[in-house]
Amino acid sequence: MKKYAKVLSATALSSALLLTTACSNNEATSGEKIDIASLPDSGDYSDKLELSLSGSITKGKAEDGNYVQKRLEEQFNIKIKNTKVDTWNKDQVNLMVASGELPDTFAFTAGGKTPQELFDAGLTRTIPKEMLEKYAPRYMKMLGENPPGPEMNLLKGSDNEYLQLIGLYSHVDGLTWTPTFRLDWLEKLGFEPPGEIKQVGPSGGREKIYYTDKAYTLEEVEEILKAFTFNDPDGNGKNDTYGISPYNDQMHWAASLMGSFGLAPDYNFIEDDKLVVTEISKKYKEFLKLLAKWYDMGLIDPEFTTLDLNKSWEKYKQGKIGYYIAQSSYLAMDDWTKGRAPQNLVENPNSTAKILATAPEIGKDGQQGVGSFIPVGNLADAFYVSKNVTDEELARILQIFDYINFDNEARWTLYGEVGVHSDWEGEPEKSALKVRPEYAAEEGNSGFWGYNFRTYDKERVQWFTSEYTMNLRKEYFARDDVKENMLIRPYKWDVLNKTKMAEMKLRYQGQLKTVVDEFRMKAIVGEIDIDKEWDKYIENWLNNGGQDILAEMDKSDKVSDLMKQ
Amino acid sequence: MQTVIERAVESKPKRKENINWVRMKKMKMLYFMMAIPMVMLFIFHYIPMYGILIAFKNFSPGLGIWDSPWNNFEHFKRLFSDFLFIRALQNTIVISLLKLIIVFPAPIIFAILLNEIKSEKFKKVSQSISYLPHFMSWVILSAMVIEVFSPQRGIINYVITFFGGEAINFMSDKGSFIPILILTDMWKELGWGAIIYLATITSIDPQLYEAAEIDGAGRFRKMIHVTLPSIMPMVIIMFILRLGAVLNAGFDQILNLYNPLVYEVADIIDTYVYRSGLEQFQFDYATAVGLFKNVIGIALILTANAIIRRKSEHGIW
Repeated sequence: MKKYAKVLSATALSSALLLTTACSNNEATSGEKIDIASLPDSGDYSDKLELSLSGSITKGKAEDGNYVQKRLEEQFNIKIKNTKVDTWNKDQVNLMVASGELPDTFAFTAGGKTPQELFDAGLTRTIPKEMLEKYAPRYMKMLGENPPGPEMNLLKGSDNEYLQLIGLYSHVDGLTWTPTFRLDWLEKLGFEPPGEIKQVGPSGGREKIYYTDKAYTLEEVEEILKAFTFNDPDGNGKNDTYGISPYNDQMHWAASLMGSFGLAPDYNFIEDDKLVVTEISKKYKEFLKLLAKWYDMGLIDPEFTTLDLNKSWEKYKQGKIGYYIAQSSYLAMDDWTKGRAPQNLVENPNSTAKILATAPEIGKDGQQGVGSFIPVGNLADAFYVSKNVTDEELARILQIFDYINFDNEARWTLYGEVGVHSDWEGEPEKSALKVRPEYAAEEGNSGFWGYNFRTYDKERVQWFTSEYTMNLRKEYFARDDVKENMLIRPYKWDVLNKTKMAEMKLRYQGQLKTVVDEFRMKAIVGEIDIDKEWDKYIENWLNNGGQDILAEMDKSDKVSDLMKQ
Repeated sequence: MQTVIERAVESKPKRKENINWVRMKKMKMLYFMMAIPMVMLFIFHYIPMYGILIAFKNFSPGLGIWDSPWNNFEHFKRLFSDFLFIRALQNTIVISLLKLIIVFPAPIIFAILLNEIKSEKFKKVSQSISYLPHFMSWVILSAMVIEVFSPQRGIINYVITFFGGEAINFMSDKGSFIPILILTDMWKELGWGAIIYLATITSIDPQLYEAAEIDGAGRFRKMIHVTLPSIMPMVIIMFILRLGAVLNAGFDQILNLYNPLVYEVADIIDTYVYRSGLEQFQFDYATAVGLFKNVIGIALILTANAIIRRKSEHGIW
């Protein structure tokens, strides 16, 4: 019934849309030549405008007349209409799109259409380069510094009309994941850490978390997992521990294990002189064989088939699993990571567990690494402008966008004034900012984050990152040599919208993910013989859209070339 | 010249119209009350049917429904060229039919048995306990079910291993997953589903039971020859309505219980469409899926109703 309700509500709103679109006089200027001289100068806010704004964090909770709203209204001579929709809720976003009631700016968290499709569907307008240069110089500077920024997101067939604005993701620069082991178990079982180990922090549970920039080999990891499973590491006299407990809904748990085969999920590379995607490569087959062997040996928790990510965290917390994947902020026990493995094991002050994070495992050929969070460079995400926005409104929007997202004087739009609305968690300018409890951390009475886009340079990253995470990133996760040697990027990628790769992926992702997930799970638990079923699996993958995706990928630019531009 | 009789015959319909009008006037408040849901029905259920058009179009919100281009049944071609959709359709039908055969009669039997309980207190407690699972969402129930069948902590595997057997991962086994689906669905809806039959049983004329008793019928005979035939019209209506929903095999239940190892037998249309993210912004495609399901549903309702009307006097209309 739920599905019926969704479909009916979508159709209901669609029919309402017919009336609204028929009645509205759309004065959008998408793709047309702009007379830039006729528009106000940068900083000229003499005409009062009404704008409905939303940002990346908008959940529809911004109170009217909030602190940030008032200051922005005064500074830019505008009246802000707050978006009352939760832009993180897929159903609400769907209904909003179907009804055509889009705010003037939006950055939906969940995307089901490419920027080109959103434009073709009459939902967004283009943003002329000239206007960006005039009204958003800081943004254009950022694009220029991050290749191939200025060439990304251009309207098909145009070199000066952008379909969307893009964000700088400095917070995901470097390794996203790294493996961890139960250090107290390693010590008990007589395994030496692979290198010198350091504490993440002095207290709060961080004193029980250690890290090293050295790594175990895959063979060593296998020996460790064996001992974790069979040598009673928790000393309870029962055979109730496991080396590793994966989960069934994502592949993060294997990020560094795949890296030891030179693989990253969904990325492509050259194998036997041909472009292949990870999931159909020979290396992936070897990776699956290793996991199947470990499952057969009893090193993998057999219950993983019914565990999703959240249940897997709970399972880890029970203290029966020895290996888990982690991000730097998990190790630093940042507030937002509360409850997540592996740090959830040491949250309790009485816990005697200790955790060791190492560099990614070293594979047979010395391969080691983790897939980069973003395939090319550090630019990601999408900030759209609605089709109903006029050029004059766009000029004002771009100036607001440029100020609140790229001028670090605008920190008050995220944290208010330090000492009034927020305080440094530790050393000023070197730790995270914490909003005082009387103000809403997001939206609400403060309006913080309510209108901003998810784009962070290094200074902004500091505002929401603990000093412990920053230290881990500096010492290891985002160290230049680590990034250079261990970040796995695809061989080819279409960031310049030259091919139909994005449309193809959207169209076939459901089919292909099902084919891949089923084969992977069956292969690991030994339900199928990998060698015997492999060719059939490849054929299945290719025939269900994979062939089309590969063909489009092949037309794309080499990532190494894109990064050089 | 018309005879008196002829005039009487001619004036009869007029009188009937007048009588109807007078009757309607008398009950105007009732008609007014009925008008409100009728208007709502029209606005929210009939006007939106216009939107079904987008199942046959490449819908663009900017262009609206009418101006969006026709796409030559592209969405339906896409549906039926996807082997996973075909598999999901097969699974949907299999699971739904199994539920129809096994789960559908359960509340009927339960209601009849409940009716035979003499102790009012025990009857009420039994009823309340049986309603309870209905009020819990599948998110909660699935966690309970997964725990019960867990190979490490589950009570069933505890018994198996206690007697020297090997733990079985029931939730990831194709052979056991469907029986678990059927059983848990029955457990959840048994009590709630019995309410309508219990209500029907209470309206059975007690004289029928008295007459049966005089004829020497015992409790079992009365159940078979009085209770069951008396609730049969309701059973038939419920059966026909259930047939109409045959392509809804239990989205919430399956989504919360399944995993990739059992996709082969448990992936239904709704879970496949949901997992594929096909609904997001793809209103036209989602409408095509919904329309397909509704057409099958209405066809089944019409067919079943026609067959049943031919064989008996019961039916929906």
